[in-house]
Amino acid sequence: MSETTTASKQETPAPGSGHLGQTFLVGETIYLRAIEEQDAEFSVSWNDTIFPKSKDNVEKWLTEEMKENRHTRYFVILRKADDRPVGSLKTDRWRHSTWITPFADRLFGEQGDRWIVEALGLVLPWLVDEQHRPIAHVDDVPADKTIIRDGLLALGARQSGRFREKIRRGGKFIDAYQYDYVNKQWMETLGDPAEVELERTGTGEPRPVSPPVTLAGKLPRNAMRIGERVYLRPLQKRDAKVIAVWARRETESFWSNGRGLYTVSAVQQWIANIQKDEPQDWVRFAVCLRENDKMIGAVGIDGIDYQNRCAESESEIFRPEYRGGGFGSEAKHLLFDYAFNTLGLHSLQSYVFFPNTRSAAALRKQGYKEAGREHWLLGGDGGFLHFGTYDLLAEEWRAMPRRQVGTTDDSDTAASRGRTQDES
Amino acid sequence: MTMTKTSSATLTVEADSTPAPDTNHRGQTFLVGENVYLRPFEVGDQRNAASWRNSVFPKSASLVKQWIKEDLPKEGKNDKGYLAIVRKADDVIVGSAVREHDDYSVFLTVHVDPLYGDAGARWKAEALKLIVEWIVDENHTPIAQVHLAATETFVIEAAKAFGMRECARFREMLIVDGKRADCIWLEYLNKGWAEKLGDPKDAPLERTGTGEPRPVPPKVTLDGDPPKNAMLVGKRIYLRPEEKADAKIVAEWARKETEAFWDIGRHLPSSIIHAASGQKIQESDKPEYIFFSVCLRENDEVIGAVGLIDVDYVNLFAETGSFFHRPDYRGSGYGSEAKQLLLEYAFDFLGLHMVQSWVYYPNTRSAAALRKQGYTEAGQINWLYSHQGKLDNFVVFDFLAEEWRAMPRQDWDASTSA
Repeated sequence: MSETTTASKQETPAPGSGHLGQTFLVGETIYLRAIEEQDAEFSVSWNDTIFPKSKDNVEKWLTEEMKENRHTRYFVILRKADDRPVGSLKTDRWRHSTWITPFADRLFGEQGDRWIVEALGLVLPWLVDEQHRPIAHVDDVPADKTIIRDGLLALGARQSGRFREKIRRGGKFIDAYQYDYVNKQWMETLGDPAEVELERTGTGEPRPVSPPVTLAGKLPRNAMRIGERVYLRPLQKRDAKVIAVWARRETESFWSNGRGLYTVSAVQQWIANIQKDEPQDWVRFAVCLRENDKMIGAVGIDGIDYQNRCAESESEIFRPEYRGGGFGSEAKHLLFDYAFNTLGLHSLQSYVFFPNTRSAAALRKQGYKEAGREHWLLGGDGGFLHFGTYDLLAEEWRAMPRRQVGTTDDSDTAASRGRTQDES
Repeated sequence: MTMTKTSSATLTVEADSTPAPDTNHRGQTFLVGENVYLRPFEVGDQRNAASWRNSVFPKSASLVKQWIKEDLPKEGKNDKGYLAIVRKADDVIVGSAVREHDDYSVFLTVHVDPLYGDAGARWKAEALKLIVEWIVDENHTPIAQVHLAATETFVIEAAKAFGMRECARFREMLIVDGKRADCIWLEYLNKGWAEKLGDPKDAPLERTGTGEPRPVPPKVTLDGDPPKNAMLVGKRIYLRPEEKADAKIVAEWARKETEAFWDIGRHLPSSIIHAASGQKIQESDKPEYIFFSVCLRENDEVIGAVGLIDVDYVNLFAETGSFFHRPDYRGSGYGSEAKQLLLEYAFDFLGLHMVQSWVYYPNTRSAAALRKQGYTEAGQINWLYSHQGKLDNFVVFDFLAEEWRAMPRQDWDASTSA
């Protein structure tokens, strides 16, 4: 009897009593609790989406889909005075790192930003100090969110990078700031990550862009962009085997932290998965040689954000004999042409593991600028290693000089075009 | 007898499936031009899908094969037909033509692989002429429409040379080579129908109201909490997600509808179908349709719905739509207030570059409202529906984000705005 009474009391508590008894994550004006089914009722206030979702839709997501991602957790920010949800914090864990994505109901305006700062002030010490995690990241804080940016600095977080014009606001582009909050004991053990120098190789000078071509005659099969020596085409199911085989033959271990091995069927499934959406979030092309159609690598843009017109670029050349001969950069410029001119993106971002100086040098040659760093993302020998971050704006890429297409290929093109004209 | 016929037919088909180059069109009596011909898609055509799939996204041959085998046969049910544009010289597929049949008209989408450059434009023009004349002249369809980027000057000129004409132009709707380009609609009329019904271009469009745009109501500063689940809040109303239960309200008010001019006559929607489709689209993380319920701030009652249709996340455009179920809230500015919140959502949340809107000719009231909200006439899309013993037109509008941003922000007195 008495148990039942207690339970029903908890279900419908008096307004403002929701935090009573909770020993942590309770602030002056707000508190945090794990997300519950009843929160579907007030989803617009905490659900970090710009799309309208009904109560039924959110309930389905809460009960069926949310649990699928075991590394992601959602916490609702509630106002202490009346237990009304006003925002949320999402935490994504990967290995030893945690990313925090704060959100407050947009209609609360600056008050929402102040609640976010209060919530971050509860969560950062909880995750990093109390749970002894090495680091937490708060990424992509818009430049105009000064309350949140100042608040993060006051809490002891530090700015680690800035992507230029990554966020679109009212028809204009503004910068996005990256912050991290480092565990002090770990900092004592390993030293301050912000002080680690980034090793740079190469001249750092951008090179002229190798432009795409059009052909009147025979096209390489399924080509979507054609350069002087390589072309881009959709990844095919059969490519999975080539990817898996070349991964087994990898000679270098510095691209990321060590090498990887892949099951063919898993790669096949992954290719099919990223291709099935329309529009796609991740667009990846096979890089093939024009002379013999051999696939030598892949380039892609991932995490395409159609609202903010940005994406992350990625590339790899599987076959070692085609590394260092400019094939990668040629493929990359075809990818930029696709990203900026076909999809109409405004900016691209890229992340490179600190020891991978070669990819970083290639990015600088391709026109990217350094944007900062993400600290302690991967494990190194007796420490954690960083990523350098880079960005490239469409207008910068458009302003870069174009390379003259080589004479051999030029006459090739002219000949094909001539043939077709003769036929018509 | 029958047996012999069947086997000889089979033989022919087999012979056709691996023809010598430049022979596959032989024997085909129509849709064959000088350089290209049109034929249905077959399993096997996935091999050069990048040339004919009209999408900027790469798909593997196995996904496209699955589409040809499983989805393409069902497209007939959706009144859609697909044809391959094939180069005669070597039987290579260089593009595709999609036709969408409406009650009286056919919309065409013609695509040729852009990597063929100028030669591709010539093939596209040739294919367009073949298919338009086939659909309209031979199949007796009253009208066919096609839309093209304004930058495709060669195809547009060629289309005009064989009798198509521009009927609408949506400004800055597309991204072509990293720049904004207008989208031009061209139409082609069946001569017999044009003689009988007259030129739709001359059909009078009645315009009511002043046509003067009114200022955009300034952003509302909330005194206290926003209404529950509100996403955008105006002075008297707010927008919130469409709930499953709202479908019952829509169905109930449809039964009480007094006006027949919004659409061509009234409708009796099923709340089950309305709720199912409304909830289904909310599951997508890039929904094609985005609808909000319009609610009164004073009592949270639903009075209507506004939304975006066919959202294009690459080119950043959508069509706007709105409906006010309750007659007592029509004509006193509630619709415009809701529309301005929808425009704020479209331009500032989604970051769309432009929106368009289509209005039935007889619905002068909605057209007048659009002009007041800042939309500009973009032309007409003709002969899409039957009205008073004739075929009638849509007047279409467009509205650019920068135009909306440049409009003055000022409160207007809703009571005098009807």
